[in-house]
Amino acid sequence: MTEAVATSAATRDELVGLVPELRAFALSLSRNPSVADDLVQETVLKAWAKLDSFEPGTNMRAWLFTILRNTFYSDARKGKREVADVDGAYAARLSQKPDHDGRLALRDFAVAFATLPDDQREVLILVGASGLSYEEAARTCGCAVGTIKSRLNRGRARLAELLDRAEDGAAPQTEATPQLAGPTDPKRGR
Amino acid sequence: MAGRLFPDRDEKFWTAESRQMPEEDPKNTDGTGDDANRSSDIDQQITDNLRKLYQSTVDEELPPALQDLLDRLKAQDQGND
Repeated sequence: MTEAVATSAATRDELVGLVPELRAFALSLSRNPSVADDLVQETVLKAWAKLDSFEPGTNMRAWLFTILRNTFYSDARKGKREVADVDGAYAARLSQKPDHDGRLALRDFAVAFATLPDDQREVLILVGASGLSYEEAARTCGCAVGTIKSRLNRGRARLAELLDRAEDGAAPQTEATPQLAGPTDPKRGR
Repeated sequence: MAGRLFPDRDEKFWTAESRQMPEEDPKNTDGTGDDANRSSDIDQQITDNLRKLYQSTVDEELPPALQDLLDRLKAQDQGND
């Protein structure tokens, strides 16, 4: 096997290994499991086709997230974006058991998280969960580092507000916006 | 399965430190110390839950359609190599 072929195989393996993280990012963006899986498939096909343009040694996670994000917003502009399923996005994935220490259950957190605006959800996931640096997140989102920090601050503040309210005994409120599915959405519970 | 997801960098952004919460004063009896503790606890909950939420999806098995796609792509490239 030549060095070039070995490098190419290693790059492909790295891509395959990152697919689970692509799904997690896609779900946080779309808030709809079926849309998320479609997004991941489209992203994988695009990435595989232009793998030669990926520079080995750079951050493939950031590269893949950028492709997925661009695909998501491109689809949204074309009106291809399906309705989000805020309650159902994580419902089937998470335990419904309350935390024994009285902390907010993860499921409730997921509902609160899903109510945040797109730009706040994506930076919370990119920096807070996937581990991208501010600079990598800024390149992925096509904005300044300061914008990333600002979105993070606003997202965290909003989550803290929702969680604080939940700890006081009220359930996290889902703000009604046109693209959010209501509690009677037939996809709920998937 | 992904490797380590949460490098040390930027860690302080996810802690109470970054929010410049007032330090707890043990002599404080007006309740602000409790407020700071509660806020700090919520900060930590946000950090923990965000990571759990992400990891819960990362840990899932890939859906068959996606796994099939990856298998096809890999087989196609092995044929070309």
